[in-house]
Amino acid sequence: MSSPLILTCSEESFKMYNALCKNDEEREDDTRLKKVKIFYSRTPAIFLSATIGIINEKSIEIKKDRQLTRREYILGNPNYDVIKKIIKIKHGLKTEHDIVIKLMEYAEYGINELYQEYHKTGEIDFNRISRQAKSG
Amino acid sequence: MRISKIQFKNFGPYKGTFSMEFQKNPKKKIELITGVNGAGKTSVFNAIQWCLYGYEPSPTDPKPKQATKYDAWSNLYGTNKEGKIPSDPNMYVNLWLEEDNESEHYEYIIQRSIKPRNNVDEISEPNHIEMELSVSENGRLIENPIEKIDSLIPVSASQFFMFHGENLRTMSQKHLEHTKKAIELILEAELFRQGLDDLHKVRREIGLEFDAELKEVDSLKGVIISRDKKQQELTDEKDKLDKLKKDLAETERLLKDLELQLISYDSTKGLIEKIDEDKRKLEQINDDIKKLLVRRDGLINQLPSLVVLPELIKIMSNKEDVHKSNEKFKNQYNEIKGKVELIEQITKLEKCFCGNQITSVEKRLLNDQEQEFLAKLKEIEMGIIDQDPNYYAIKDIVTSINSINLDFDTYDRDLSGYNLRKNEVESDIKRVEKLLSGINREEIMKLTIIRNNTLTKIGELRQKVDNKREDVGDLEKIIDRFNRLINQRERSKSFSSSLSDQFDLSDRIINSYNYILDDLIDVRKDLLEKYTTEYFKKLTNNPTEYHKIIIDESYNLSIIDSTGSQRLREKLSTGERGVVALSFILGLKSASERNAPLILDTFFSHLDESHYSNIVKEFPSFAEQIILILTDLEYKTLKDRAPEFFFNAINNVWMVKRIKPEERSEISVFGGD
Repeated sequence: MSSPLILTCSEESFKMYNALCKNDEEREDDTRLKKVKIFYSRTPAIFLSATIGIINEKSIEIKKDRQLTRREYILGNPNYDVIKKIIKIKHGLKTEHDIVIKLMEYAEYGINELYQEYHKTGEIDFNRISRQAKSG
Repeated sequence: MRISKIQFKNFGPYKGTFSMEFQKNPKKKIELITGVNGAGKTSVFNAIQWCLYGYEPSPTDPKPKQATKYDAWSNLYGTNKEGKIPSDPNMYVNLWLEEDNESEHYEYIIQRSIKPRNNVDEISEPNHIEMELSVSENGRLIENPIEKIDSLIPVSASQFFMFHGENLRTMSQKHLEHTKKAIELILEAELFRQGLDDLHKVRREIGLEFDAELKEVDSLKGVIISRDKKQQELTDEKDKLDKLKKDLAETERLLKDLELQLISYDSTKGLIEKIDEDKRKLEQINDDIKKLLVRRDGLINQLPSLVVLPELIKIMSNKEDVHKSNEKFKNQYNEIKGKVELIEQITKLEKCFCGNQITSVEKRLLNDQEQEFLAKLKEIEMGIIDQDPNYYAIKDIVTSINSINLDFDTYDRDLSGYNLRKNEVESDIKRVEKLLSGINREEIMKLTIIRNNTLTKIGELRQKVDNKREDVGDLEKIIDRFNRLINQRERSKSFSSSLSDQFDLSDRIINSYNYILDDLIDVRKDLLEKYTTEYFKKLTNNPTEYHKIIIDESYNLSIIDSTGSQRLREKLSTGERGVVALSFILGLKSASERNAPLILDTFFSHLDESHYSNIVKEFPSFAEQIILILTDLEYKTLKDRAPEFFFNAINNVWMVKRIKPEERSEISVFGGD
């Protein structure tokens, strides 16, 4: 089974993604300077969220889904190959469909984590995340 | 006018020098020359004519002309048929004329001579001789002798003053055209006609010149139109130039006002410039921050791989045990396999490496050992697990991720540095803006913009003014050229107008001239008719039978008899026609008012008794001086018939003799009676 063309998330996560990621209009605008949105687009947010879910070994099944992004944005990203391997090894999944669904479930968890940090501190400490990853 | 003296040398039949002096005596007007036929009488007549005109005047050629040497040669000197140069080769005729005009007395000496050229041996053609003519007036040499002679006795008139009897007969015939011209000349009508012809010529020339000028004027009409068009263009361009100048002056004044206003804001200008500078700095900082944020996005993109690194390492560690176990078995396998291969090689050998023969016992031991090793190899093979294909891939990923250095620290430092500078600049801007809060900065900006725009406008206007000045200058040059042409036209016009006036004037003169000429001819003709009639009535036998002689336009004569009928001259007798001709000649002489001597050669032939008497009776009154040339027979007849008063009027009688055998003539005074 091939992966779905449109990838989805929960209604709550959708709102969080929107809170953290710039849409097309915002990218065109100069609001970047105002630091209101953390991510340039949804794709880096999805991948970071998914990796947070993976590292914490927590994923959330998606119900009442909202369309979040297009499949090609995920499959074409260099991070996908890494995450794909991890999911395949961890879960023994072999189809692209299952892998992508699992990725989005991990992300469903991760986005909550990111949003909570953002909600509390007004920012996301990437430096900390980076250091933690390095330290294992 | 009268001839006072004739002197000639070697003329015709006369050899040597002869002189005839005609003393002035009002009562003795007649000089009589007589001799037998062929004695040389007519040569005296010819001598006078040759001296005056250089040839014998002819009615067919009444105009004065330069006497040719040929005339002299053929008529005079040509008598020397052998062509030998005579001992005395010079020939001349000198003529003394005198005239009393009002209170002045004039004496003219006319001298004409020929002689052989210096370098000739014989005289056989005209070119062998030289001819000279001179005229002096009261002792003063006249520059143009021909003209002078013509003014004294015109060659055309000479036929009416010096004529043979034959001439009289010619005159009694119907006048030919040349005779008419000669008559008009003597009456001075010809002079007027000549003047008329000249006037017509002048008028034609003026007309031609006028036509040419008119063409010139016409050709310049286009120039005037073009000039006027350009003049209008110039006026328009000048208006535009004036407007531009006005605009420029106004704009310059506006600039001055603006500059004055801006000077009052000078102190704030620095602050405004600082704000502008700070804003430029802020823009630069923002640009740098933007670049930094792009760098941050790049770091964030790499972060997921870094985040999953521990997971990958965990996976790797799980795979590592299997991998290491397999590695261990592989090593053991390779070791035993090496031993087996060694045994196989040894068993194939006859001798050991040390050189000793391998025994069968040894071979059996080797074989047993080999079997034991092979069993172990089988056991090891069973223990090796299939190799995980992801092992090396994940290993490579981990290696690759390990090399990633997501330097969020540097990013954070850079960002905080930029933010610090940004805050500083923003604070500066706020501070200056606070200082400028009381000042209408917008107004200054507005004024500055207006000033800058005004400066640009002034530059443009100055350029436009310069361009327009050039246009105006070009147009003025063109118009100047046109004006020069038009001035030329004005001159032409004025000239044309003058020519037109001249043309009209010449027309009026010609009309007047024609009128005068007609009048003059009429007056002259009337006078001529009157004198001719008077002479005719005195000379004719039947004065009561004839009423009047009338003269037509061609000066031909008719006689009106007492009954009023016209009698054509052709119907008169030969004698009567001669009398009519003589009357006409004498009438002509009187009408012309010319005082010239009358020279008559063999005049009395063809006259009947009655006419002869009448003429002789009137003869002394014919002219102031009469030179009468008669044959000896005529002279004898005259002596028989002429009354006493006729003889009393004779000044000298000149006798011409032919001397034989030399065949030369001589002339001498015979006497007055």
